[in-house]
Amino acid sequence: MTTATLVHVIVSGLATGSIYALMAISLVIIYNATRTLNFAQGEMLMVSTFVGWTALQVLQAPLAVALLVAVAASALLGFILERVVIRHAISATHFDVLIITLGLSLMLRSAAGLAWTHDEFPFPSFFSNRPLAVGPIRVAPVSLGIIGASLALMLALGALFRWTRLGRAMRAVAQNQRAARLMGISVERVYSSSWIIASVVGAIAGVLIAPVVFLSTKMGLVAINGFTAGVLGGFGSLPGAVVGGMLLGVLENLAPLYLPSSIKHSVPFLVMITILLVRPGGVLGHVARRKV
Amino acid sequence: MRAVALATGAAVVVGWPWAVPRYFVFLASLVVINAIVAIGLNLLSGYTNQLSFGHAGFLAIGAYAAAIVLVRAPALPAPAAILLGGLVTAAVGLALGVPCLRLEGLYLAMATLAFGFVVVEVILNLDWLTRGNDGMHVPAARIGPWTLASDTARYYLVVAVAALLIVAAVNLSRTRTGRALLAVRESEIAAQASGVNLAVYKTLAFVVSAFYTGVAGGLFALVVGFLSPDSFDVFLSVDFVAMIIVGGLGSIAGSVIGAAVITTLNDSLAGFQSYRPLIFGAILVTSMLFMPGGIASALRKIPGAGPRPPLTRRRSMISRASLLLLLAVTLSALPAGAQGVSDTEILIGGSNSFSGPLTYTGEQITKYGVDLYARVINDAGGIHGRKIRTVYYDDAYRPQDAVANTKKLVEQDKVFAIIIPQGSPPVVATLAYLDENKVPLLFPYQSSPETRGKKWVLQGMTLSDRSSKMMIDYLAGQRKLKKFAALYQDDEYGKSFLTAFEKDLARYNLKLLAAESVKRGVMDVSAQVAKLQTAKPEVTFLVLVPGPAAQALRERQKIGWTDTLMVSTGPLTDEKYLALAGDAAEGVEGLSLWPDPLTSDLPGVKLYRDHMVRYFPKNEPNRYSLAGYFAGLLFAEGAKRAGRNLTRESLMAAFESLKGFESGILPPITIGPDHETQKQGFWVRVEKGRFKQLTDWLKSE
Repeated sequence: MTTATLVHVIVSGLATGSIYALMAISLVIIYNATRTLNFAQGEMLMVSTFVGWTALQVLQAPLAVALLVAVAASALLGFILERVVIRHAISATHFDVLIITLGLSLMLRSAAGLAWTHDEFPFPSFFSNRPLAVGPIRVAPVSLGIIGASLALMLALGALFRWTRLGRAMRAVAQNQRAARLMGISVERVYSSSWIIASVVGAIAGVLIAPVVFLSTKMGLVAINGFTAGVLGGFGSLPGAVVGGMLLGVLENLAPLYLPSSIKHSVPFLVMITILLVRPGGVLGHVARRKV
Repeated sequence: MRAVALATGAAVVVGWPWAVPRYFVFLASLVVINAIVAIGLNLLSGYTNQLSFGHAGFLAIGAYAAAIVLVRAPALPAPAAILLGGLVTAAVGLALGVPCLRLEGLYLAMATLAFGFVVVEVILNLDWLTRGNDGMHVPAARIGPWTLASDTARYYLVVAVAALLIVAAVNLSRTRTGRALLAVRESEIAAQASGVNLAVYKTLAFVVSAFYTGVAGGLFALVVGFLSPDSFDVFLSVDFVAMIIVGGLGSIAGSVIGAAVITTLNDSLAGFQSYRPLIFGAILVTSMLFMPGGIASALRKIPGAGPRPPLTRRRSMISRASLLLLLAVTLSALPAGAQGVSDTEILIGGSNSFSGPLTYTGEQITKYGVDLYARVINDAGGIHGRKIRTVYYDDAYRPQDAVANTKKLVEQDKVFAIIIPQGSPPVVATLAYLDENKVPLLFPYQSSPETRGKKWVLQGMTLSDRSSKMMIDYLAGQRKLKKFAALYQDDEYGKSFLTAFEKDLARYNLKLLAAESVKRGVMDVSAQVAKLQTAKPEVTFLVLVPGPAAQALRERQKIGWTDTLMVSTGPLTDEKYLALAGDAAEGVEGLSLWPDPLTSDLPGVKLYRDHMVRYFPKNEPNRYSLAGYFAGLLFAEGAKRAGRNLTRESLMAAFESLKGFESGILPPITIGPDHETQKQGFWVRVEKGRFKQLTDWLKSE
């Protein structure tokens, strides 16, 4: 395997990994606020990408407008789902909320199929697919574009959490909900904002990845890799989600290069099991080990 | 009072097969099997708070263990095989449970989820033992001199095993162990302080849970009769979790209710096709919103139920559950005529994908394909005065659902014939049943040679070995190309082509230089494409579905790999993947099994387009709906020739006498002893975004 190939495969893996990371981030944001897993995250991404695509088709709008439409639709969907459905169940056990988000994911996928069919559609990209040659190394602008855009989004999120009032409130709720409430933070507002922010991140990830994996109702399955990425990095940690996503993307691409075909498809899961057993807090986490 | 209730319950369970139609015996077996899994899962999740998303993996281990034992030692009594399946699974549970002690909540859920995926991968790769993607037929179970050949016999076996396990679970929950487990659920710290050894009890819960699920797996193998990795996807694990949460965590009766509700719901919704996940999801959401804690806890809260001793409560819940079940059963039991042919109507149907990975294909071949032709012929007066009516059920590509749907079609709806079901694992799973009941299986949309030359089957799609022969004869024979590689989908479809390629290349003293696999729903194929490039093949076969194939073409463009000819297989060569790949598809060649549905001038294809515009103006013509339309057309031809006295025998006889039938779509059709209706394809190349025909129809004899 030449170095050029290796570089290409790793860059490609980082691009996919960026999407996993974004997926993991949106899952973690919701988890930190409400301590529930959102099984519908992938389907929300899919629906908002479809809405953006419809704007492209119907309005003949440029791609940037489609992105904005997707983001707006996603924010609205996240807001409505949280207010209308999730908040009513928040007093129930987390298991109940889990089943609710599962039900929502089935409904969203099925409804999207009825609206747009279960067919696959090409989706335009901001970036070209033709390779750029840097010496012997070829890199595709589409991979670099996805990585760059994702990193920019992650930095923006980092700034939001670090420096804004809302970000501080979200971190406080993640740390200790009761204490946060006692300090005068509106926990309900944090719930709402968390769902909206997570949905927006998902919509952007959707528009970035749709040109690569194509637009279809199956797109939402990327959320499973997002879960894996989140766990790899230590669920609950945002930097962990980024590292976990990148790690997963690169591992997935390196495994078929070096391993016999019989085990390569299990690699992400084997890695996850191993990490869970060796470092249950994830590669970046520092969860205290429990003795049992 | 208690004795009366128990006796009534037992009488209902024992008398069930004699009181209801045959199909519900099978369905009841599935309900009971799922109930065993739910109890097992509840012992883990409800009692010790360890949520598992990997129980489909345990079910698979139990099922495969029992099936393998039965294949290798057919004389072994069924209960022994099932017990063995349970013990093997329990051992795996122990191996997984000990390291998982350190995980809780979400982390445990993720680890078990990963475990489920790994189990499926292991089954795929141990193909010498499990037959991998091809799936495995389970021999009929025997107990001493008796063979459990009927649904009823298997039902009694399932019920007997379940009764034992339920009694054991109820007793377990009342012992010191059960109370210790409950204490762990309430508070681990408090339990430890009271002298409960946390590690021992949590591991015990894991092992017992795995054992229950493994036993259920053995029963599953016997009842369904066919195993394939597709049966045990992650969504099945999710279904199990839904069962215990909807039923009620920490309640054995709740597990049974949950299993009954989810299983019958899934079954009765199968007829809603594309709406099934929508309705199912809505029911999950509303039931959790209005019945937090599940049905068991909702029943407890019913006014008047009051604070009663737990035993009475459990019994009344069981009777409520059976009421619910009866309701579901009567709802889905619809009256139907005999054998699907009346004076005015012919009823045909099939199990297909209306959810799951192949939804688009499923919808197109049925609702826009077969149904399109049915509307055409019905509006023209039908066949000998009879109109065609169709009924389809959703199987989401799962073999066990396909078996259930097919039994329902034959026994409840009493369809005349099964038409165009999709996918090798679901179709192969139903072969034995349809043959036994002498039901024609018409034009299955799959390419595994297992359907060739069967008395009651007429194969539709060109089989993989024929496609391979045409491709290799053309490329290695006529075009004298020598270096071949393949990028294939890691499933039955991909592997059957790979085997056929190797066989056909050997005739030219050639070998595949490299073969790389991709998973369905893959995100990135760069590593596989890079690896193929290093083998420097002249020809690279794409044995994929449109999405990943288009990804592979774009990946090739990304790395500027130009000195290989990409060739697509018959099932892939369609407009969809051209549209997805865009300019990356230029110059790609392939074997086309159908004339171009958008541009072909053949009279039959023109008619197809006219009909599509007339009946479904919003649906673009495509190869899938053309295949379904053709299936409808061919069925109508057979039924016409069979005459007014249409029976299953006369239909098959009419087909067997078909010689040189001109459809205007495919070359003249003659059906020989191999019972194949399609054997040919022609070569195409992509020029300026369209397929250009390079050869006439190629021969595969």
